[in-house]
Amino acid sequence: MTEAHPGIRFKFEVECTGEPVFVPEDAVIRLLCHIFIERLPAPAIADVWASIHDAWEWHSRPRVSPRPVDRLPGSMAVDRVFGVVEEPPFRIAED
Amino acid sequence: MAAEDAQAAGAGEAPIPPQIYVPVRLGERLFQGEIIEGVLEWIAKYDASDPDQVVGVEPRLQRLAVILSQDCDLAQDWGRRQSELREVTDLRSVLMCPAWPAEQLREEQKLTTRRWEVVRQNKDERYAYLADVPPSADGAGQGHPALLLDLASYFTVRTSELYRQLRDTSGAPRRRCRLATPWREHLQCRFAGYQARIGLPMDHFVPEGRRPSLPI
Repeated sequence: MTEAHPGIRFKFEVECTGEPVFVPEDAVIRLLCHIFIERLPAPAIADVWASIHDAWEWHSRPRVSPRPVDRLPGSMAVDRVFGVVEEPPFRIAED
Repeated sequence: MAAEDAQAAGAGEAPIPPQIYVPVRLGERLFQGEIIEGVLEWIAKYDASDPDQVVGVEPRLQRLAVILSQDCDLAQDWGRRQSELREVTDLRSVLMCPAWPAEQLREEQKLTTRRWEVVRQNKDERYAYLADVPPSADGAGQGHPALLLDLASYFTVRTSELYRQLRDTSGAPRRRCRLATPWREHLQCRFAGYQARIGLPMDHFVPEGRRPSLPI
């Protein structure tokens, strides 16, 4: 029973569906997240809800792959270097 | 008594004017407000009959240019290049502004005295008038007459390319001098302010001579 929610007990289970050779890191972190959330005081839950909901929404939206570049401008004949040209002076604008 | 003597001895000496410019030496990093002679700007060359057809590159010689890039960016970039000359850094390009001898522009363009005074006193936000460079502050030892910058006209050179040009010993760019504090910051603010200007559909006050004539 948590202090933040008297009268309510939150429980979660971790069930291994096979011979546990190793526990993936993200599974450990997920477990820790549950523990932290359970121990948060009630006023913090609204903040956590907003953050988690935002993360869930972001990661569950369909991904659009960037469109590949159709054609690179590699066919231009730009291997010619012209002679040095001096930049002309600028014009001072009228008042 | 000693203090009075010192005061009396110093009474006849002219005050030392502040130094607007500091000479730049070979091997130093680039500085904001640095004046460089002979920078090459690489631009695309287009076909004379087809302006959409690139036919090569043309080096455009900038007789004099002033660096406008942020000074701390230039310093950090230089630090990273100490281990690798062609290091790809956050400072992809160096922002520069062409500079021209101010009096030459005035002569060639026949500016009126009234117009010239506005420009020379830095009261036109588009232009930056920089004082003449004394020979003692010039890395080339020559000095230079006062300069004028058009803050609407600027260009960039890849940072690694600019340092390459500066390492070139075949008579390419010469590093002349740089603006000292607070003149460097003054130019920085003027450039930033000009780029951040807001174009209004109509000014709050329109001088009499510029008001549109009545339709009747």
